[in-house]
Amino acid sequence: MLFEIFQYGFMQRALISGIAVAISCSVIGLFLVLRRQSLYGDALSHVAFGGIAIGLFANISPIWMAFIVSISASLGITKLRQSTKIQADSAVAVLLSSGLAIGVVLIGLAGGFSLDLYSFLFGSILLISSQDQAMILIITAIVLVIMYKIYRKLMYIAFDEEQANVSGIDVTKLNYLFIVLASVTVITSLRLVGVLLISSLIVIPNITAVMFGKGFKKTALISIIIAVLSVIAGIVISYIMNLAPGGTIVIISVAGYLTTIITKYIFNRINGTSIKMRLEKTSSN
Amino acid sequence: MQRSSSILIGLTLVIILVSNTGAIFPASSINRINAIAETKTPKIKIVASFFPIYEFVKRVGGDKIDASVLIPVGAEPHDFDPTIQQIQNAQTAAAVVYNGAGMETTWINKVNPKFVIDSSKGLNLLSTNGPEIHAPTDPHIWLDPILVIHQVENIRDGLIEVDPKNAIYYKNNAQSFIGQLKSLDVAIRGNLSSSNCAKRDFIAFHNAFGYFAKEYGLKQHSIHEGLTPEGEILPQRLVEVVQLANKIGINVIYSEDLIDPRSAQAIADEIPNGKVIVLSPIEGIKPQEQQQGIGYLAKMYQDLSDLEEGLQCKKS
Repeated sequence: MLFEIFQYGFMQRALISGIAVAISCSVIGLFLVLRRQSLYGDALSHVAFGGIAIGLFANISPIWMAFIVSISASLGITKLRQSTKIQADSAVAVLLSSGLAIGVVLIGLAGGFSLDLYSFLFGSILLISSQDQAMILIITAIVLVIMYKIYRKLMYIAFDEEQANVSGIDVTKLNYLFIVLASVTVITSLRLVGVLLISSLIVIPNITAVMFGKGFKKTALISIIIAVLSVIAGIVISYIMNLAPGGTIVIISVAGYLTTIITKYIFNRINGTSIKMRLEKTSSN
Repeated sequence: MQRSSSILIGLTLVIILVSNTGAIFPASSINRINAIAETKTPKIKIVASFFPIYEFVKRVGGDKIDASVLIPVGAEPHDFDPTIQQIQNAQTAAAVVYNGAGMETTWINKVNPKFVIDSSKGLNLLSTNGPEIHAPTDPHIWLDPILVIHQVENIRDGLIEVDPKNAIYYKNNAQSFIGQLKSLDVAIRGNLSSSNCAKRDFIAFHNAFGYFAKEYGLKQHSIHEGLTPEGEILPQRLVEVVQLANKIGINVIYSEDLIDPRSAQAIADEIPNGKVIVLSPIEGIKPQEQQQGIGYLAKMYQDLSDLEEGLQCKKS
């Protein structure tokens, strides 16, 4: 069955690019979750949507326009946040709505676009071309290498920004670098799962992994495994049951999250009763 | 103090800008009124629903009418919703001409124009074979030249009713356009005849060529099974289309000019010598093409040569 599914080129490309995107999103996402910026991915993807609309409107390559617009918007909002001390969640709200607003206004101005905007909103993991796949793999590799080099410092900043600053880490520069990496990751993933579903790939595997209560490295690893498994399962199940692949991937990862919560609850109950029994035993002795 | 004065300057600038743009529009309409006054014969204002209808109207109405199009020509017309301005513009027209056959069902009633010309009036319509979207009938009549002749006649009769004094002019224009449509029909019938082409099956992007296929004895398949080209494609559908193409032994997968061609490309990649060619459903036209003066007939002849390649016809 599995062999039959993956004899087609588009299924192979969906699987390979899906796994690459799952890994980079979960790595970037872990820091976003730790920094309490879970919705940042969502905001960036909406800004990217604005960028795509600008690209389509001005007849410039939409995906490059998305890169330019979201990177500059995210750098701008980081700067704004540092100088005006607005809250991170408000900054996200500003980014999200302004990106979408630009998109909507431009679509109206152009009287509707010829290109299928639906594919940007919900993605089309099955329609990845070989060039798209090559771009996704290269960008994922670059993002992962840079993240590997800076993850210790980022971790320090995530847990205590002031302390990190005092200990000589260039917090401002690293924050900018991280935001650029996050933007690049989000836009690269955009064509696969779309504007509306991307934040689930960033957030859900990480909050699931955090529930295991392990150390930083193990949590990161668990998150990557969960993300990759959801993508593989999502693609296979969407094929077997003939469902939209993007949505299926997200539903699988949400199901994984719920399963973890329930398992943990039951596990705690069992552990709790065994401790109770032990306590009763010791007290009766 | 300085701040408030700069605000004042800013406000003044805004007011000047706004009043200027306001002044530009009346000026241009004054020019138009002058132009009309010079020719002494006011043109009647006709609004067509979307691209092919707009062109048919212009061909029949010629320089006696001031034709405009409601759905922008570069936009995909399925599921279109007009803006308030577009509705108001249509309401000031002497007549609104629309394709009919269910294409404009979602919005034509909102427009409520003075006079309507339904170009599909009296035609035998095909029922939908895909999932129903808006209407139980297939709207793509403009892709069959024989049906377009009827549409042109309906438009001609409608214009004569609105503007009887130019009846002879409209009749002559319609007659010459119908002549061109007839030679288009002869060309398609000859070039796509079963003696000339190895295949009778083709895979379109969406079910736009139902009337065309019926007219010329072809069999239409499509990537998107519905009558509109939107929606995320499902994995099994891609596989089905690949298998279908292999079974009927064709290597050309058609995409369209106003949509994302990637699903056609993903399928073509899986077929031996697979190739994507644009087969326009002529639901709109790119602005560049419009500037080059490419119209309905040129697009139809382009579709004809695209089909000749896909159906493996002998080059004439």
